[in-house]
Amino acid sequence: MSQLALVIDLNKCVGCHACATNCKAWNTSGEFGPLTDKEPYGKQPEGVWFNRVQTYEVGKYPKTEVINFPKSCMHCKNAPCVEVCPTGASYKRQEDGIVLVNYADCIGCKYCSWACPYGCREFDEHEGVMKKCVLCVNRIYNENLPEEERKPACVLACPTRARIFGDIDDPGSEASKAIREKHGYKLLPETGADPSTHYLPQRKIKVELDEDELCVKPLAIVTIEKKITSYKEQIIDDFMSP
Amino acid sequence: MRPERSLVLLLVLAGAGQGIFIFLAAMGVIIPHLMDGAHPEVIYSLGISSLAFTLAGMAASLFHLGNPLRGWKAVIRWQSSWLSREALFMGLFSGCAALYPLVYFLNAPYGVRALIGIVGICAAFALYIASAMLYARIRFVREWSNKLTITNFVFFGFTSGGAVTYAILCLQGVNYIHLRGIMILLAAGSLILKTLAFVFNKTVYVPTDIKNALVMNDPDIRLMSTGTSYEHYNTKEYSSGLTDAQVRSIQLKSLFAAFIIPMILWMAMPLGAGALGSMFAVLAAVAMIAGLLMERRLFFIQGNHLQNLYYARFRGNDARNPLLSKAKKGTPVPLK
Repeated sequence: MSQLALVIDLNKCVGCHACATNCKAWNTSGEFGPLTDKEPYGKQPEGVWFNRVQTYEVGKYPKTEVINFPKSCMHCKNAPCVEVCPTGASYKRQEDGIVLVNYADCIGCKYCSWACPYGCREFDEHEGVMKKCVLCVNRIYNENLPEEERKPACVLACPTRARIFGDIDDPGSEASKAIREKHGYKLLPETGADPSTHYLPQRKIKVELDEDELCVKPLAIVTIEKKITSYKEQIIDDFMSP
Repeated sequence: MRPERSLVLLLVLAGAGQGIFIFLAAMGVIIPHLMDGAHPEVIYSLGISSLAFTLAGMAASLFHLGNPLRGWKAVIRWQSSWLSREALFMGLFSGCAALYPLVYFLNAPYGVRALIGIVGICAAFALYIASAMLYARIRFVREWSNKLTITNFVFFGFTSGGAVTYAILCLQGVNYIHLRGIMILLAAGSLILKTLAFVFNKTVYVPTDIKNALVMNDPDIRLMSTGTSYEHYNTKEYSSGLTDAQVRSIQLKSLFAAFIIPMILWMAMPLGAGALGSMFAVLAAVAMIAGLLMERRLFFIQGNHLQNLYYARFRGNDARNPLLSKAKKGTPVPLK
């Protein structure tokens, strides 16, 4: 059995929301749409999104970091939303581990959204059903699309390639390698949901150069050299800040 | 969590309906000579009230659904879902509640009445448990996921049903003195259980915080942007928007209206069946139902969902647990 999932590199995410908007654009006009909006151009716009990006600030000024945090359905291995669904509308596919909702069976009781510890399900008031990320199941198996485009819309839209899509149960996949080599982790493992989506931690950018490796010293390094004598393993970000 | 009116009505009205039936059927099974001697109107009015309360609760619950016409599908996954089991037991109980006055009307033998009564009582208790487990099953909402949720669902439903039963009996000219004593004891028990639940909610320790949620080991993490320009499902469904002072006020009002005022009224009511006695009993039942409506609303309001961590709306542990807040003053509290 395979488990398709996303691996999100927080080190690369710049919080541009391209993943969220492309997700909405693709899914609102497909089988899983529409992702309805209420007052989309008004003062209080509301709507259904499969993917949302939140921004956090970590640390105390001046040593702060901005974390852009995209969050969509985790396609959990022990999906609590599937277990509590009274109609069987929520189900987990055996062949690829994607959690889907059959809109024809959903009664809109919202119980699945209560059971989801991540808050990754949204109620569509217009259609009266629960909606969630479908991992673009209508793209990834779509033979009408060129093979390189058979990926979720969010993955294709990401300008920094912060999102990796693949089978996390296959040790040779790009996603598995990223989790293994870059310390991928899961959110709220204590809930026992065993989410499939992994996050790669944000890391400091370090300069690890020897003097004799440099033919022409980059300007940033020259500037740093004026301030300190040794520049080995120093953080560019810290020196660049005033 | 956001208190949804339809669910509050379902829990209070159906709970009372089950309670009425348990009293009616228990009296019919245990003391049949008394019930046979009673006016048939007493049995019909109690039976119909039980059914009416339950059906009113069921009807209210339909307004909670996005697709009410598909509501019947809720019984499909009874193997895994407590909501499904609740729907199933609701159907079984409603059937018994409808049949019970009918078999009295048809003068069915005691065996048939007793069978329907006992099945109905079992269905009513199973329904209490299923309704409670629906919430208690969500383990990370600690205010719901504890034993008090189950005891309170059973006690409050049973007590409110008893209060309505007693009021109807008084109106029909039957004043069982023993029932009054039982009701005072039940209300006192409910008061103690609810107070315990409030204390539990105040001091419960949820072993997680935003650091854990984002898996970032830094004491200072602040939400800068939810990524949207207005509220959405995640910011509306999982929080009530009430301040702590408002919650405390509802807490006090609910305790008084649901348990203390009915107890005082029952104790103060004149002995014997009379218009004044009936008025006291009716007032006690009305106060209890109104109080339980507030109490059930509070049950939702106090449910603190884990996803609120991501929206900086999770009510922190340190403020709620006095032991932790003391420790926090000196050194950071390690996550358990």
